[in-house]
Amino acid sequence: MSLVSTKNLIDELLEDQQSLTAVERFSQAHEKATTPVLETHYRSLIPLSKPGEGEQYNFEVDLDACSGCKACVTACHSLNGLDDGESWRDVGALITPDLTQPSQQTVTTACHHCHDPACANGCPTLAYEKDADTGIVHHLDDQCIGCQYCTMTCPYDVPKYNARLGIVRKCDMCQSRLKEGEAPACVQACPNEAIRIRIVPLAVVINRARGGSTLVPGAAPSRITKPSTTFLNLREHEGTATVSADDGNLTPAHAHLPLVIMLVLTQVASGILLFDVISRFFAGDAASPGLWHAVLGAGLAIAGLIAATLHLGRPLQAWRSFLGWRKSWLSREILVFGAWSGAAFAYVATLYLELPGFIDNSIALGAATSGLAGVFCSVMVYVFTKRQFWSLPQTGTRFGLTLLAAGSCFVFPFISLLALATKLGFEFFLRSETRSPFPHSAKVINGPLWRIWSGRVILGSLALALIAGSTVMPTLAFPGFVALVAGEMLARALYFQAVKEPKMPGGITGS
Amino acid sequence: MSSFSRATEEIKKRVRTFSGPLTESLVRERGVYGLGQVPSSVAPEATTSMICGFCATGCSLNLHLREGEASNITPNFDYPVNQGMACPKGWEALAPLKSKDRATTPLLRTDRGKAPQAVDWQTAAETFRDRLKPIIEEHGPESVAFLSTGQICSEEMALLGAFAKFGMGITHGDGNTRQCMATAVRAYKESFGFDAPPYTYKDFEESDVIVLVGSNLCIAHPIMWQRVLQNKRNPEIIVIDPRRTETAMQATRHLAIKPKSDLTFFYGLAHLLIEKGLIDKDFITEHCDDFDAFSDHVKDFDLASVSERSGITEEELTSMAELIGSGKRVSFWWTMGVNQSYEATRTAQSIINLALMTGNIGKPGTGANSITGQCNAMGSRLFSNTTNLLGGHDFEKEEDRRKVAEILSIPEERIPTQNSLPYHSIIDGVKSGKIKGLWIIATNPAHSWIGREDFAGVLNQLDFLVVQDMYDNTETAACADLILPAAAWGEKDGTFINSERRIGIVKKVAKAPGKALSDFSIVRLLSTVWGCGEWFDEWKTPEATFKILQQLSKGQPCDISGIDGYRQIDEEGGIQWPYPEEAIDTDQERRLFSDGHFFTDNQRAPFIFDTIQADPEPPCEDYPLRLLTGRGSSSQWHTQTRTRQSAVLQKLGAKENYVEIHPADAVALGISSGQKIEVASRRGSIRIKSFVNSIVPKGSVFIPMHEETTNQLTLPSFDPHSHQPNYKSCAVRIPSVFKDNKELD
Repeated sequence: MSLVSTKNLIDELLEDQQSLTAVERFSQAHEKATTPVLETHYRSLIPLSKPGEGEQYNFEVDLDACSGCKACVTACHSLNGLDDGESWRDVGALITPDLTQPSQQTVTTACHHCHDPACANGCPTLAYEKDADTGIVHHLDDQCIGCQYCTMTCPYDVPKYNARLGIVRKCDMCQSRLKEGEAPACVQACPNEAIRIRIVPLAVVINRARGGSTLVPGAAPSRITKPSTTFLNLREHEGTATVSADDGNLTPAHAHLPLVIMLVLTQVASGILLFDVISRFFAGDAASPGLWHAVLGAGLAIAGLIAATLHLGRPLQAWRSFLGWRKSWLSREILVFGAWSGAAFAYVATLYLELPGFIDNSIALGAATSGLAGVFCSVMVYVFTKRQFWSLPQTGTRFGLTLLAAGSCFVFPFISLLALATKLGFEFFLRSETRSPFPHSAKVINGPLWRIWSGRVILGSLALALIAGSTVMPTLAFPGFVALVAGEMLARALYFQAVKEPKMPGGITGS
Repeated sequence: MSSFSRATEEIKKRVRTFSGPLTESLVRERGVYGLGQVPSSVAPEATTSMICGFCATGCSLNLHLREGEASNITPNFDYPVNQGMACPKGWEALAPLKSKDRATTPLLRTDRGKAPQAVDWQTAAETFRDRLKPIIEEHGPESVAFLSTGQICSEEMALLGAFAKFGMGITHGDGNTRQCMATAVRAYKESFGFDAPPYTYKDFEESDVIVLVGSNLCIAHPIMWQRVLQNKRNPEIIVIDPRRTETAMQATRHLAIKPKSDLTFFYGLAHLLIEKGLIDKDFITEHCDDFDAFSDHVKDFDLASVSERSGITEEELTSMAELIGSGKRVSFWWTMGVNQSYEATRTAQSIINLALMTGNIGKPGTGANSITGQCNAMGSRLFSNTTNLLGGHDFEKEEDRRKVAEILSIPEERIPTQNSLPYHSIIDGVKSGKIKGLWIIATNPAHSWIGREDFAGVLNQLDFLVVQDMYDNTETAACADLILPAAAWGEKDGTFINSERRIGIVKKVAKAPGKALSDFSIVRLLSTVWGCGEWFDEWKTPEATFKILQQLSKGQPCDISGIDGYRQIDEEGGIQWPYPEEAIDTDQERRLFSDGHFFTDNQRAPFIFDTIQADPEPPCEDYPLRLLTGRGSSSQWHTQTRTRQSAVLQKLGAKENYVEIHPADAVALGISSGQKIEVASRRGSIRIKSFVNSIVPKGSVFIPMHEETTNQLTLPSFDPHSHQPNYKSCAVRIPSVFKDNKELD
């Protein structure tokens, strides 16, 4: 074999490898088709008419027919042109870890197009639209600023953040397909015809959401959002716990670092300004800590708000966030903290310029109360998610004690010590797997988050020691304050990461 | 409405954007040629269909083409197999092509332990020749072997096998099909006279009783399950499986037999059928041999002892026998639960025997049907030139060798006169130093081989290891001296044969990355450089090669000489073998043996049976648990070299390896779900996440096969007839439970 001819052969093979000729060599199927060929398959799986007054479209899932093949998930991904790994449908499983009745049931799930959608109710920019005719809850991608709040308010983990685009996206029930009489991607793709589109009366949706009823075992109470999906043939096992297959999964939730910083700093700053004002009002200028104290408060306020914008996928669109103020605590939080930052600077300015008392007082009062109002909005932002670990007493106690402990650190160290000690005690109670009302969260804190917890305890103890020391040696106050704030950051990270995120059943070892 | 509200509404209208670039990026439009709406970003200009490259169901996928190149996939509606549906792997079949892990250039490792260097094809092919030829010359034709695959096209397998055995002159070559289908092959050959799965998928729809043995159809072959659901006869679906699998959940009856009691169970059923006279005496007399001996043999399998051994109650056993013997259409289907065992061939034959004795063969909705694993395992069984001489012929038969030599115009003495060693003996040959050169094509034994222990160390003993694969980072490629970059499914032409004997087309619809070449082109190049290129002058293209395969098949049960080329296969929705020139029955969905004539010399099917073998490693005091292995999810394929390339498929499988453990065992060992535990066998020990679930029987644990740690535990034991590995059972223990949840992060 000569060198030249081998080389020719290699060139020929490489060239052939790159030439694509399937179109020329084989005939084109359905050359004259004018309608989708799959139509005969899905005709009975979608309604013939549009929903009437008091009705909406919904997904109907026959759980007996779902065999866990997961084609629906990939079809949603492929037929909607989604990013790598992105899909608006998911498949999990329910199991019965019981001795006598072994059972597993796979559950395909997507957006429930709720009657009272929490995603829309919480959205600061009104980026969700519940279609009046179809009931489809669809997301306005160009309106979204990527705050991801809906990923927390939805009790079914439906909206998913797309980091590449900086926005959230979600299932729209393939509304453009339905409009043309075509089935949604998942409905088309199910080999077992387990997923259908039906028309459901709203009265049914509302009625079945009453009390503590859930879509499937382990899901959030339906009363929160009144989900429209109907699950047929759910296997119930008397006297046997049915749990999600990923029940033992202790993967921590997202840390949301910018939010951790934002929350701690705004609470610290609110506290500092509050106690600054209090000390001036009640102790007189002589006992007040001096201008630096107010400047520190205003500076931390700004730092906190800058951190907040880092959380947004599209910070330049943040101005839209006032739109949702009627319903959204997040929108209100942004508005109030916006005003507060102005008030904080005005307060510093009045101190610096030594303006007349009545101006000074009213601005001081404004700065203090708007800060408190902002922190209250922060609390409500998380309470609104209806996550138990984030309930009003839970969140209020944490955020409030952070505010008290940090705010009083320089002016009333005994209050600071009391607040911080109380908070640490509260947190110790919550990480006890036997006593905490949130055993899952306790397990996550003691398990994968143990390093953060250890850091939190060390910093908190250090802060206690230093602040106590500062009562006799004032130079210890600042390091004490730094330790306190750092400790609160870790505590806030635990607040986010240890929460049990409500969702539909997941797959084995987490999905 | 107050003026304030009006103003708010007005602002809302103006600043709420319903459109824009982000919204447009998801716009859908009506697709061409019968497609529904498709994403505008990948809307096709043309479509063409081809067979999926994962499993042997053989679904047809509709490739959406832009400038001739594939951009998206929808399942093909017109195909008799899948009728517009596909499992997740099919939907995601293009993702593995685009991976950054693709091998793009030949790589040569001159110094083991160091990274390999890129070389050109000339150097690669010459190195192949210069390193392997001297080994063969010095140590003989048994010193170099190849390990092929069920994942490449029949034409490629044939060229590969022909070059290796006739061109290079080596004796031994086997395929990874040994790991999945060898049992069915052997069982069919002995029982039917030829490796001939008799069914068509239509039989799923036409059965009254569907018996699934060791087969988790719902997730292993979801599209076959679709066919079961299309059955309008309200069938009884009986699943025989120790685990309460997804399929067992869907069944009308689940018989959770004790692991490794299957042969006893089926002999017991046969005994019951005979005892109750529920057999088809006419069929047995006219078409079968050795029934009396069989009948004698199963006499010992009385109801009480079979019930005891299998854990199935006497009532259930009796009811099952009555159902099978009721005269209704009964079809039996088995997969890896049967095939991967130490007495697998006889177990498969015990199922075949049930079909024969009840006359459930050759009629609609019947059959003893083995469901195949890989996309072209069936092609490999006929054309890989490993276990069989090309075209289902026999190396040991002179007339077969002459026929093949004549068709191929090669000297008859180039054809080995002895059979190849099976896979495990090739590995043993490497261990003992007899085999010094190995060529591995499109398979990943360093992950998948049973009881793999130090498989990399074994490969290191070779003088020269060639790995030909689409990825250069598989566990096996990491050991290679020479890596040959292969084009993938979708980047080449050829044919696959599916489980129901249907030949389907694979087309080139994507450009291979870098200098990767199809396996076909690689072998053509190697044969040219080796110096035997002229023998393969006729094998210019895959389609020309298909014509050679047709000639080779002539007169065989798998005769496909009547097919008029690729285009006919494409247009007819695949063509099942046989399809001889004088084909009379050209129905799209055909089954074998409707005349009761088998492929044995006397056209009769013998009853084949054996004594029950001892479990090579039953649970004991030291290792009290039994390890079962199998498929984890529908989105994972074997060693995951391809499925791990798709983010969506990854999302649908378990994120890490896990072990299913029964709650009673978990309580006894103090294990809760999610905890890390150690699982150890006599071969090795792995640290793994626990998943407490009652679907696995008490006393057994289950670990999916997709992570490379699993086969550190399995026991290298083999069926004596099929040489298939016994993946499904070995003894293990759980020496440590890591109480500390900190292990989880």
